[in-house]
Amino acid sequence: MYRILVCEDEKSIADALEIYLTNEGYEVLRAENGIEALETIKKEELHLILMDIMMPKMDGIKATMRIREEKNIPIIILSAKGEDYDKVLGLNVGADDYVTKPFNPLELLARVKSQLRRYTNLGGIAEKTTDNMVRTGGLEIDLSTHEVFVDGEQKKLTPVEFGILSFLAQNAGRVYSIHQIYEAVWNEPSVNTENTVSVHIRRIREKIEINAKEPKYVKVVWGVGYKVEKI
Amino acid sequence: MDTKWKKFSRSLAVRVILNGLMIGCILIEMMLCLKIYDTEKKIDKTYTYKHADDFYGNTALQTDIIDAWEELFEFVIASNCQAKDSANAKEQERKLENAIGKFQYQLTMKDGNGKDKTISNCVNTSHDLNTFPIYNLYKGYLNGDTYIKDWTNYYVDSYTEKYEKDKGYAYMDEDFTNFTWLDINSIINGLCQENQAYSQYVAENIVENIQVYKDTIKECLYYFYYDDSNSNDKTITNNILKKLYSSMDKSFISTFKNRIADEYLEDKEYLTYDKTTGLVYSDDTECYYYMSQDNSIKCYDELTPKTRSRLEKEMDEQDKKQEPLTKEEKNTLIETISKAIYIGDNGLDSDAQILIPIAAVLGTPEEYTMYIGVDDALYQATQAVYMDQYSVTKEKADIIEKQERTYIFTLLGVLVFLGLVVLALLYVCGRKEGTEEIQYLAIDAWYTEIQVIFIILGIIAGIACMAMVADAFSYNPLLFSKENVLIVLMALALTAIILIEFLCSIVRKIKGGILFRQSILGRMLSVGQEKLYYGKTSKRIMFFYLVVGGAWLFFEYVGMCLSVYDSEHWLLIFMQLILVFLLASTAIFLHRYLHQWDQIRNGVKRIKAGEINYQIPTNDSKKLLNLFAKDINSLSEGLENAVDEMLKSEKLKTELISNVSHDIKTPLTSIITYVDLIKKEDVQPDKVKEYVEVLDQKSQRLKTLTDDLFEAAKATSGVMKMEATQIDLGSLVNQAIGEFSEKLEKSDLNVRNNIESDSFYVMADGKLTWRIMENLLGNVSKYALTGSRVYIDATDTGNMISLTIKNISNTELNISSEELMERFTRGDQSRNTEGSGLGLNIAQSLAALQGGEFHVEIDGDLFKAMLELPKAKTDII
Repeated sequence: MYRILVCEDEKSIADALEIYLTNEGYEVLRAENGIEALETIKKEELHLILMDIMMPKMDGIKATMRIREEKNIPIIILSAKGEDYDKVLGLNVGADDYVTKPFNPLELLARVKSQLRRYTNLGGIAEKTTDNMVRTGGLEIDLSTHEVFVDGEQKKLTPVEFGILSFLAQNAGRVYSIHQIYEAVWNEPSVNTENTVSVHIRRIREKIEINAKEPKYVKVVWGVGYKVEKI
Repeated sequence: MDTKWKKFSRSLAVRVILNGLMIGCILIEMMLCLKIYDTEKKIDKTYTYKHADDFYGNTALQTDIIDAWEELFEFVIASNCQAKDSANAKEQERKLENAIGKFQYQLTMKDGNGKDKTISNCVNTSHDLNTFPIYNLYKGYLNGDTYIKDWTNYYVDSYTEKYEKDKGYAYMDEDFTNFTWLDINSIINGLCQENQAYSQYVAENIVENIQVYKDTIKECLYYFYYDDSNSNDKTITNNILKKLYSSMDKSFISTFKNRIADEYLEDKEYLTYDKTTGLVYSDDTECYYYMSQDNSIKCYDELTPKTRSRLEKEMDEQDKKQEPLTKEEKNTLIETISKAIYIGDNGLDSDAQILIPIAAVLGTPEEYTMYIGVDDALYQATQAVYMDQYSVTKEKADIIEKQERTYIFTLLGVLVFLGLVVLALLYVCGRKEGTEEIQYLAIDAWYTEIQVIFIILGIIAGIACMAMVADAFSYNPLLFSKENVLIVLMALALTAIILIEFLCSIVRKIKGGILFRQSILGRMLSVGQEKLYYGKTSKRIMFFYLVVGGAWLFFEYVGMCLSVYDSEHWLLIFMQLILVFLLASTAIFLHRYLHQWDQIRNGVKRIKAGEINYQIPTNDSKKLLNLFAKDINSLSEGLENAVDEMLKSEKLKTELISNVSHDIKTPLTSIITYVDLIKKEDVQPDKVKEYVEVLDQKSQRLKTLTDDLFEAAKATSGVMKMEATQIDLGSLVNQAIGEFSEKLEKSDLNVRNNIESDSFYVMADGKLTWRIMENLLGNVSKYALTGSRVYIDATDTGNMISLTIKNISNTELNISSEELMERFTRGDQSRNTEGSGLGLNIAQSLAALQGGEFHVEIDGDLFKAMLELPKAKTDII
């Protein structure tokens, strides 16, 4: 039974979140602002925090910073602020994920699950580690068994998709153009094959990302190519 | 009347006629000149002397008289200077007798009572001078002033200038001021008698007492000593000089120097006389000159102290030694003086300076009178012959002269007429019938100064030419043949015509008021006006330089002029110092000025680069650049404020959008989540389920709409940040198509992407461009006709890359492209499907944000979206 703290000043949203989370079998604790959240964290044992940003007394960014000073509980920021720099700020101060309002309840729940899985199964994953394992963030690629795990959950990829993903993940952080990817994966010169790669990439994203439109692992660098984020 | 006169005076005919007249007059003038020249040549000059009643034609008689006069003069001197019975005197007397032969002469002297006393007359005593009064003797010849004057003309450098009619004799005057006959007997006799004491007295008298004579005698002595080759023993002269004159004497020094200058080709300027040694030192060759015993000039290259002391001793002794002249020396002195008296007669090459004052020694004028008489019969006999010849030639000459006069009068008449013609020409020039405007000719384009210079030069050349011809003609008429004269005259005529044309041109310019404008000065000033008078500061600096520079040039010039006389003039040195000072102060000024200028330039550069709060260092001075720097500082302060203001307002805008967005999104979140919760409940009846479905749909649409709305707001308000990098358009399009592949496949659309990767690079923000593509491809997948093809092309338009997406619409596009671009417009006019209607508008804003353009075209069912983005500078990543 995981315990989740919902830190949200808007009561209706907090209620809705509680309903969803309770339905999924989590125990929900609530706080109306950052200070309350900090107090609760001191008293209770928690597994995850859903944090709003714009709250009275102490905002979500400050609270996250404070929490991170002591604990490494997964924090998902849930905010109406959807600008890029808001997201970057949130993730930089220590949040593990950023979901914008209005959110898709299913997506949110998926992200919650994913975070919990990572948080609780961390030791197990570590055990599995071998030389043929490529890992970035919650993405794990076993090169010997051709298996792909996202936050511990296995994803089924076609051989081409696996080739592309493993190629990018092995060189995480580096941007590869469509041509380079094609030549590396298909092992033959690329002539008018651009669409193939980008379609494959989209499919990979749909399989491994929670929200394909806001990918966490496989990212597009527009006009240049693709890369797997080094996390 | 007035108009008639105008019409007449401005007609072409009048101008042509006047010009013709002008040229004609000049030619006539020249022909007349030629005629006059011709007649002038015909007159026989030999017989044109003055008047018929003088004896000028009678040259033989004239020569005889002159000879006689000279002989008489010499005789007088000789007989007085030497003992009467000396050989020389006898010789002179004989000569006189020969010369005077046919004449009579008389020499009278005023005695103490003022009465004329005859002291000598014709040697031939048969002539009783008393019975031959002077007027009788000269009857017919000595006819007043004319005689004397003309006689002097013939006897070049003659003795006399004045003839006193009432006294009847001529004497030296003016140039020969003191050539008189005073005391000639006593002095010369004294000198010439063998009376030593008296000779000594005279010599001393001449040398010491009579100041006027002193220098003259001395110079005469020097003259003989240095220059007279006949002088057989110069040592004696040298001794006389040494005894009589100090070694410091000016004449001695100057003569000495002259000789050195002549013999050794020294410049007199560099010679200095040393009175202690009697040497002349030359600065130029660094030699010491001295006069040796044999009267030659020699030089020491170096002066040893020993020699110097010896010379000094000699000089000292010489000055102290006042020995009397020896007999031999006295004789030589007398001889010299006597010689000096003869100089004029002997035609020795000497200047009057020596001669005249020597003559002055000889006394005052009034005392002696010298007469020459001519026998009447002799005169008649000789004169008659000449008179006959003379009258014949004179008659001829008179006729020719009369003719010449006629020519001259005609010439003057024509000249007056020519003047009138020129005046008329000046009046009519530049006018034309039927217009008030001045008509210019090509010649008027010449600058006024050049024309004026031409006119002046022409006049000078004409006058000089004529003067030269006249001069040459008077020397040798044969040099000028008629042909030569004709050529000269034609040249003069041509010059005159050209000059008159120039004059007309100037008058035309005056009439047209362009005299000054068409001059070099006028041009320079009109150019200068634009360049000089445009700023207060530049004016001030120009004024300073004009005044200081002008004054400097003036003084420099004066200094240079003065330095001609004084090789190192102080003014020139002073001006050089001032020049140095001026240059130095200009350099300092420039240094300061340029330093400040650099500071300002640097400051402006930094401000330009974005450092808008940069302050250029300034001080309190009122100098131009300092004020300028202050202005720039205040400008940058203003700029800083403006930028701050702008930043503040942008921040406010961003905050506003962000807050509004938050405030809308929060309730929307609740709506969406609760709708979702309701959906999950098993609600009854089914109707409610339908309602909830609508709520779900509409809340989702509201979400999309809000997102797009804020996107559009951000894009147009400038809040959105843009980071342009070089991106490959082909890759981007491929990526975008990849993202949309599912949707496109669903609509069964065949996308033909004709853009190859690595062929078009644009400077753009990848994310924003993707957003544009997303909107466009979204539209394509929504509105393109199912099963049709979509074409994507790109072209290079120079500075931009143009991307085109063409597709066939699945519904009729009955609105214009402009309307389509407006917010919330959709082609299908139905708002039921998903989408906000903001897509194209957002695409346009985003394109503009990246410095590009976006527009659409509708051609029937063909929908064409065109995106232009700035081309990247290089095609290589």
